[in-house]
Amino acid sequence: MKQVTFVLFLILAVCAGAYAQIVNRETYLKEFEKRVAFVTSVYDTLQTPGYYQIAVRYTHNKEIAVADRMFKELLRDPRGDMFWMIPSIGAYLVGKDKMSAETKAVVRNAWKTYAPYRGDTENHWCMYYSALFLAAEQFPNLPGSEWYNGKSSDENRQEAKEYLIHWMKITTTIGQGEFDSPDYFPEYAMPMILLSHFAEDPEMKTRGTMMTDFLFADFAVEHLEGQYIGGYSRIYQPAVYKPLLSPASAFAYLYFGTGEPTNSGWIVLPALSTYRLPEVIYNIAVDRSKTYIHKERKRVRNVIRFGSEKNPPVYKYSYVTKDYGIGSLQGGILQPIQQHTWGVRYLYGRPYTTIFGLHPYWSGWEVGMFFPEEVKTLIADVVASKGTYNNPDKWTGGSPFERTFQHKNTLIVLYDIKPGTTTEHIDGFFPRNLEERIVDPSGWIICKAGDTYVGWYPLQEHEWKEELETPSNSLNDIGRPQLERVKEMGNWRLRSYKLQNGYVIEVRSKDEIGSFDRFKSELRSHVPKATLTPGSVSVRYGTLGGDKMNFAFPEKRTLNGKEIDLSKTRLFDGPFLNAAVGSEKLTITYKTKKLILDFKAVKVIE
Amino acid sequence: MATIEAIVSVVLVLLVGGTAPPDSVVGNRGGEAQRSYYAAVFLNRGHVSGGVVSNIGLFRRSPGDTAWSNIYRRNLFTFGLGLWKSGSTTRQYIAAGNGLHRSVDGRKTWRVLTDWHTEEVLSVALDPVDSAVIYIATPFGVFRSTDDGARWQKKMSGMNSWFVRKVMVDWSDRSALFAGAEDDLYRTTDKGEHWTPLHVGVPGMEAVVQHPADPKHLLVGTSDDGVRVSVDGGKSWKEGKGLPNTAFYAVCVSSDKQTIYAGGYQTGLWKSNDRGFSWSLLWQDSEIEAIYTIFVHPDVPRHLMVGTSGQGIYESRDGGKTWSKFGLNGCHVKQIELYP
Repeated sequence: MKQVTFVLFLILAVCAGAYAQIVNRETYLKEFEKRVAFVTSVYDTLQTPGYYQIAVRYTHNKEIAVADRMFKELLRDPRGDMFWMIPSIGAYLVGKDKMSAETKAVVRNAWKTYAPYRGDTENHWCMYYSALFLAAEQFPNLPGSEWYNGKSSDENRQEAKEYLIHWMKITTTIGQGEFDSPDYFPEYAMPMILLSHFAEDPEMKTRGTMMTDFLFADFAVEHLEGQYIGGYSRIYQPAVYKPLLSPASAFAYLYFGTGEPTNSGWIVLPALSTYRLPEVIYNIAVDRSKTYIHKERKRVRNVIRFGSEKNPPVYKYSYVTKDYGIGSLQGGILQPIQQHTWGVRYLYGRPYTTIFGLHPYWSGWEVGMFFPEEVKTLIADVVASKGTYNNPDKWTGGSPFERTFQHKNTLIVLYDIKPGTTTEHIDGFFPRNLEERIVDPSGWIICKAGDTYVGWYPLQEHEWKEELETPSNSLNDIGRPQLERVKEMGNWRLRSYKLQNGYVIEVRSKDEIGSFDRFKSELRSHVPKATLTPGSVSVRYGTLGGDKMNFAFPEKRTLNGKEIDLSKTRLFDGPFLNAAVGSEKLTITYKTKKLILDFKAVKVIE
Repeated sequence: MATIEAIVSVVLVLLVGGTAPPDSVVGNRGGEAQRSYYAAVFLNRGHVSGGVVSNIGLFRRSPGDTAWSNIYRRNLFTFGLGLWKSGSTTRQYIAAGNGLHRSVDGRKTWRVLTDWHTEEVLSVALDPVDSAVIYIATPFGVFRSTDDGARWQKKMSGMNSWFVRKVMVDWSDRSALFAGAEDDLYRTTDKGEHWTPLHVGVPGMEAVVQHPADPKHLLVGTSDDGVRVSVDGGKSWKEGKGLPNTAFYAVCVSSDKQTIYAGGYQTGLWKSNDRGFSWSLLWQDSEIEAIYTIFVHPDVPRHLMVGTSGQGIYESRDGGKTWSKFGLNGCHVKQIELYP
């Protein structure tokens, strides 16, 4: 019966069309509850032990004895570090009033005997300390001998609180480090939602809610029908070219009502929580009636060596329409391994709804900037867990030899690659399911993806490689085979071996330019002029919108004769989100509605 | 706090070739039967944080054992070990990815001494007299605690880079320390309050060693430039001749104080009999990507071990002529010690 319901739900969802309709609050909340029911619907019958199965059974007051049995079974040999901490404390918190005393004792004992590792990245710490904070609240007044790390309940709670407040402060002053990650969004949203629902400390409860709002607002403003758009700190293959596979899309489904229906485990605990998305953020996520530019400042992950600044700034620029979004980071190494510097994402042609380019670079220097291990053995260490890192055909990663300059829906990307660098080529991703991919005599590659048109002007000679997605080449970054969807179409790879290189990207929707023919015609009369010699890589370009962009690698960007100073970029700057660097205050605006998250005062002003 | 006077039997073991204890200390280590080998395993390339495969942490191999056993945290990225011993008081330390761990009850229970302010702890150095004074090297500098690990202060004054791989107490002066940093080797004479660069001439300090017979005889393994030697306390430095210009992660003075060993990335094991000024290749195995640590048995100088990247431990009982695998295959072994 549940399968039939699921199929009907899917059909209804697909028939609802490509666009999410903005609904009023009452309807939103009703539909949200329906999605909650759908998300959780399969978990209370699944017989395989799992924390989500347990949590849903407790919440639904169904098969409590089974939930208890599963909990005890799983806690015989806990695994997963912070990825254990969050679901296990979540399951405990939703079920603590229903589980048996014996199960409670087993859970308590797990926090004494199993020592989860704290990890080495921002998402690890966020999960670790959020879960530790909640556990320390649940098991108070215990001495260090009762905890895995030898610290008392008070010490653990205090340390966790201090870290979390520190993280919130740095995020709301100079930006998140692992920012805008379609794959790591849940690792922040889940712990904050748990704090919002379950923290007993009123300050932490409020902070949890505010930070959840902050994260969702940050996502909403760069969201298009379930997809995160723009540049990202981290993304895996294959989600980089099949955007709706990212876990953030599951959150978009649950909270924005967009994308594809999913029972993803990432959204089970959120679905069981009392957190509700503020209306103003929902509106921002789904209202694409007006095109807008949104700018942000984030920060580079902690630089431990080969740098002079711990957290250099990241500048992000996004242009968002109802049909597509194009966004970029300024380029350079801003995050290790999985950076996505720029991309166009659009509605047409699921699952391959994107065009992007990169210099597939790797080096000991890059990973040595961020990880403390010995540099020369570090690449092999990284590859052990991020299998595509040193693959010359990879689709993720930043490069020190890449820089961007975006203005509205025009983007220039330049490369000045040092000889001998891994690798000595650049790549462009073009889905095979494009309606048109015309290699025009003018030099432009002109693509049609439904009502989105993309022009790509390569500055150097290049070749095309056709790549079907097969089980052997569809491994994701951690080596798991992507067996699903392998019959789908794959992609075209544009490859150029010139070290001084670049391209110009123009994107327009049918609404913006009228027709594909007109787009083609306009492109043909707008040809960039480039200088491409070692140490001197630049381009002069008059955009379809009539602006003059001059860009000299690496950092000289001039728009209509005026030099662009990226350092003036605010923390958030756009029609919906605004915050000054250092302010700890985010103003969220939608039409006449306003929500202010004041982290200094720990106060929400509506 | 335990302040020990008179005869201090300190086994101060600080990462690869750390501060050498005085002779009397070595003599106090006891017979072979009471000691076990301990190995700090940083990584097994099958392991990832949050993953289900766990094969890292602190390992022990006791006399009669045919294999190593994990005795503490199979998921702990372990960089190094330290031991402080005085009479019946023993404190064991683990420098790990999530902080500095300490046991005061013979490894029955442990406490993480550091908190969120410190990220990875890459090495630990212990005051040989005052057990309350602890130093740690981290990617963001040297931290010091003077209250037995309750509170920590960053001590970076005078340093030009914040990545510090090693910190080591000068065995001839417990107020003095060395810190191997990203850009240089530093020395302090006031317990870390102020640091002075020793101008090694090349960056990337990976291994720092003070000769147990001569406190002014210093050796550093570097990240790209082999081994550098000073015999005047760091006033002047010379390049170790004969070594490849690559990373040397391990430098170790033999327990007879006559021979110095060094190894690193794709180098094999090298030896010097002239204080580190010239070197010859002792052993190379194409299977070994890197040597992270070198162990010389304190009582049997011909008994050597090397900890490698991904190939576990190799052992030689004939001064390095022949070698065999000694377990922990697949593991990155960062330190090997023989502890009571």
